[in-house]
Amino acid sequence: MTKKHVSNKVPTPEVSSNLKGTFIMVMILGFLMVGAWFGAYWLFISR
Amino acid sequence: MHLHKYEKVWLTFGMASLIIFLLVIGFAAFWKGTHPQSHLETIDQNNVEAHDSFKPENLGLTEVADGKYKVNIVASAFNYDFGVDKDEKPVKTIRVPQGSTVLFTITSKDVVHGFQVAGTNVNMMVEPGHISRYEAVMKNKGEFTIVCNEYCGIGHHQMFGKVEVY
Repeated sequence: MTKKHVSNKVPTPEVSSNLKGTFIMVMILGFLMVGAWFGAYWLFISR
Repeated sequence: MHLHKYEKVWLTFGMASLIIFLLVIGFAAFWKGTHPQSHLETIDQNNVEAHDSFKPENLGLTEVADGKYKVNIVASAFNYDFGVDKDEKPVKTIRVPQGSTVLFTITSKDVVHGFQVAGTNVNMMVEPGHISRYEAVMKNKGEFTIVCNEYCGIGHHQMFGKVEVY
C-alpha cells in the first residue's frame, strides 16, 4: 500500500523563468518563414 | 490578462506578417488580375475541335497584335498538339521574341495533364472538359522546356515541347 504524502506547505508563487532563449529561437523561426515566403514571391516576380 | 513582453513582440510580428501576406495576395488578385488557370470555361472533351481555339488550323502560335501572341494547344495521351508547320510536320517548338505577351490556351481530350514551361510562371493543370489559360510576359531569353507535370500514363515522360525566347 502506498502512503499518500500530504504536504502542509503553502504553495510558493511561481518564479518567472528567463525566456530570452525561447524568444530568440522563435524569432529566428519567424524570420525563416517570412524569408522563405518572400523568396518564393521573388522567384514568381522575376520569372 | 498579463502578457509577457516577448509574447507581445512575437504576436505583433505574427500579425504584421499576416497583414503583409494578405496585402500581397490582394494586390495580385485585384490589381494584377491573377486568377485560377482553369474552371472558368468548359468544353466538350469528345469534340474539342468544335471550339474555335482548338480547330486544327488554329492550333499553335498566332500573332494577334504587335508583341502579343496566342498559343492554342490540345493535350492528349501522350502529346501536345501545336498544329503543323508548312511541311505538314507537327510543331514542337514555339518561337517568340523577348518581352512578348503570350496567352497559352490548352485543353485535354482524355485525362488530366500538366502544362509547365519550366523556368517561367506558366504552369497549369489541364483537365478534360475545361479550358486552361495563362498569359505570361516572356521576360527572359532562352530555351524553356514544356513538360507534363501530372502523371498521365505510361508515356507521360514523352509529353514535351519547347518555347524559344529570342
